[in-house]
Amino acid sequence: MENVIECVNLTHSYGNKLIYENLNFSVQKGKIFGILGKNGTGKTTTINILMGFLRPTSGSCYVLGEESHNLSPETRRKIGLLHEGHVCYEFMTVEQVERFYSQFFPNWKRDLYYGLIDRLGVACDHKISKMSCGQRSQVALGLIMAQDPELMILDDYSMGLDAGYRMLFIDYLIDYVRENNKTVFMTSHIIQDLEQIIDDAIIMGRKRILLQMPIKEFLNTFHQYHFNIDGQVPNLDFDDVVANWESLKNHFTIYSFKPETEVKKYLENKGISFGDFTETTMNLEHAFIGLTGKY
Amino acid sequence: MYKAILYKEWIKIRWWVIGYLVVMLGSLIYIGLDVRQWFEMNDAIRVWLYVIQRSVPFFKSLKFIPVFAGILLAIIQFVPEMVKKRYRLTFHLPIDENKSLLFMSFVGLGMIALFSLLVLVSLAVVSSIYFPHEVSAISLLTVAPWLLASFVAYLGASAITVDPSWKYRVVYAVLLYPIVQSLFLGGNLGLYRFSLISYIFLSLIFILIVLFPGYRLRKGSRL
Repeated sequence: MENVIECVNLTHSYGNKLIYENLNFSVQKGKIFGILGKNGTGKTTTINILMGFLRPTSGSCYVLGEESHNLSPETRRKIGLLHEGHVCYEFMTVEQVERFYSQFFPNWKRDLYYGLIDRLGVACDHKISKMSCGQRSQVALGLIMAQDPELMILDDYSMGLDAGYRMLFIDYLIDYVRENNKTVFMTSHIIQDLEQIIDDAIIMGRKRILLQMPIKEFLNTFHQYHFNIDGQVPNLDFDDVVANWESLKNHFTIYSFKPETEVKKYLENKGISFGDFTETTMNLEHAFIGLTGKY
Repeated sequence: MYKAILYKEWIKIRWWVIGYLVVMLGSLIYIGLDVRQWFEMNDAIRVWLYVIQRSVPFFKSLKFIPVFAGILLAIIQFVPEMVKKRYRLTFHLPIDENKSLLFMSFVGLGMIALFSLLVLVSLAVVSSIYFPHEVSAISLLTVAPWLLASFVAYLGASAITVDPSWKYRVVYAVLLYPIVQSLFLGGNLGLYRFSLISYIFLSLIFILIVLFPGYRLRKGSRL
């Protein structure tokens, strides 16, 4: 299957601060790909590199077959980009910004734009600068959907959106991808929304990639186990059994990619006496926090 | 696509156009009325001696209006493009970013050129009512450096506004301020009639200056 995005051995630092190194991933056509991670782990940095606003320290990126720092205007026409902060031309009105952008895109879907904007209940001559953060986000998203791009890159699409509009946008997004074999590359802090839409994901930690796999596989293979400890609470290392752990008094939680029997054997080998061993099913948000930690 | 960019620039600068038109027409009307009053309060020979022999421009009120209008235009055009990193919107448009930046700059320069023409034509008309054509000609040569200063000030202010680095902003200011300042030395009629062409060529060197901060922004440079 054709790769729409390809990053090879991507490494980036801001001065002496390493963001990540040797990041390798590809996004296939027709997929919805998510980059998840805590603040400061390099999600927006990756998008900026993909769009040519940053040169990586080393490695290479290709978008629709072209080097990311040298995208041609024709290729950029095929990419709908939602900038961090839902940036748009705020000195324009709802109508003016549509009139501006429509001249750049031959497949411009005016009805789709106004279909989304009309739900705001604002007049066409309403200035974008006088809108709330959420309303501005809706205008930015409407503009991107109207472009009908082959690839949509959304940096924190959910910022400022209320729950109703988030659900509406997800419906539009799923329809956009599945009906027309389009591709989406996105980040968001609302993990529970992403669970319904993304196919594959990268979860980024500080300076490294924690996980890279299809979401269904992640949820099927990543487990949360609870048990009580007798005696002193152990200080476990992170290894191929223990991806993360938490404790509160004598209640212990382990996050692991291993099945229950292996984890129990691991604890016994460590000489840890435990009881009331149970597994809890996790949604994507819990699994994400389990892998990355609460702090 | 250039029509779309022109549309965007018009949305930003239309109030500047109206404001500059009002100020400029007001100045020209003031100059006309002021000169008429000179002739009413003094005899014509005395006025001609004052203007021709003492070489005093009768349109001094125009002197700094164009340069400040040029600076203001650059701020009005480019600050909205830079806040909240909005230059990324421009750079992501399906048009070569250098052409896009240059076109925006040429819209500004074009506006300044239009107003400069308005000033020159209006001043020629006003001066031809009261003075011989030799005085009209030398008056236009006197106001020309002030108008040229507005072009240079616009280019400098554009580059300073677009560049995110204070180090480079200082460099643009150091390069262009001396040129602007030197176009306002002395107040006599026709002072620059022999050197004006040199200043024009010198100013043309900087016509593409906005491309340099644009290039650095595209590379992701912060410093």
